[in-house]
Amino acid sequence: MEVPRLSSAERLILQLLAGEEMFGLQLVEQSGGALKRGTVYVTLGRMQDKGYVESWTEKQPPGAIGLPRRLYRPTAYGLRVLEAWEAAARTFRRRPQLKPAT
Amino acid sequence: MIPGRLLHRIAALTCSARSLEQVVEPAIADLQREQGMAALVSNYVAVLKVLGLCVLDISEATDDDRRAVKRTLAWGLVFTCPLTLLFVMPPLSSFPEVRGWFAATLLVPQALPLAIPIGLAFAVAVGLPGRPTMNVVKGVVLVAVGASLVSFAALAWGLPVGNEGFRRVAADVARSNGELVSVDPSKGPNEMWLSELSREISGMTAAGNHRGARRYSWTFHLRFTLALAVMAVATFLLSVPIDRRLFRGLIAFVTCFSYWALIYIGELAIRRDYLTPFAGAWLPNLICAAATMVALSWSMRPGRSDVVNHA
Repeated sequence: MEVPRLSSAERLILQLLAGEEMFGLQLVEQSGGALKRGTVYVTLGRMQDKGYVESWTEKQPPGAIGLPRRLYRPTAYGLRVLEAWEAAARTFRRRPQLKPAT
Repeated sequence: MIPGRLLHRIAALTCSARSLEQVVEPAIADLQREQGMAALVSNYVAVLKVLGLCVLDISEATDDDRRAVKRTLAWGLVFTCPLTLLFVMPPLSSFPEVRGWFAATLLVPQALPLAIPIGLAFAVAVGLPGRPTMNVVKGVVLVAVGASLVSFAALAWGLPVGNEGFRRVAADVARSNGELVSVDPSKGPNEMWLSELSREISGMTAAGNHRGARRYSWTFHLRFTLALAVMAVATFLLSVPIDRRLFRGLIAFVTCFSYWALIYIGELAIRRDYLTPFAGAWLPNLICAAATMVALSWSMRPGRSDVVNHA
């Protein structure tokens, strides 16, 4: 079975969404510059394809103009993948001798 | 007017339904909620980047890919800035009485379309790894497209305004020195807007001045050619399968030199009626495109490693 990959941007997005559902721009603001406006939407699109996040468009009040915004939240699978990566990171931090010899 | 409507229409024509729904529309929806000019502008840039990524179908980029593209862009700026200053010097030195940063700034639009292709050519030679990945190639192509748009803006709008402004500044300085100068010196082809050039060409043709019409027609077509010079040169250098930076630098130098030589050859051919103004102006880009095809087919023949790393 192939271990699911999680890039640093995807990890950060899942960590931010674990707290609350957000719009794309909110993720950029909450990340403190780690996520870029131009690439966050592409990353979120890929994460949806991988099943890490799900999204839906907000209900707009009658008479609202412009496109409805899209909200994101992590799936149970996405949270499991994040948990697995964080467990791996904790393991490496606890066991410094696991680092490769230079 | 709601911001992002035109971008939405462009995206609907160029992106897949999935990309439009899941990637582009969320970006545009967020843009439409922004307040303030600075936030709006930065969101417009972000949406254009999203569009570019969707259209080029750039797959998940690694940190190495991003670093390679940023390095190429940085080298492009490092080369382009001094080249722009260099190309501003000749007209300034022709008018030694005209001094000051304002006068030099007026000449930047005519220097940029020359400096940008050379700057990006050397940036591709120096900044890219030995065998760039497909993502890096697509990223550099995106950079070249952006540079082409900047060149076109400089040629279509900046050049007429800047040159005309510089001529008037030079005329004012000459007048203040007691020289006899016409109150309103007539515009040459490099001070005309594209629409003015087009009208002048029609007028000259109707008046039977075919020599003048051909010269102005060449200037008209050259503005479009030079805007695409950066694309022609960058795609050729990306297609050449050479790993070592020194050799790539030499090829970049030869490519740029040959390109500008072809511009002069094209102009000469037009003056002697060997070529039409359109053919003469587009000669360098056509030869560059042909050379790119040859380089690509040579690098992809059986037994030869790919020009790009498909990692």
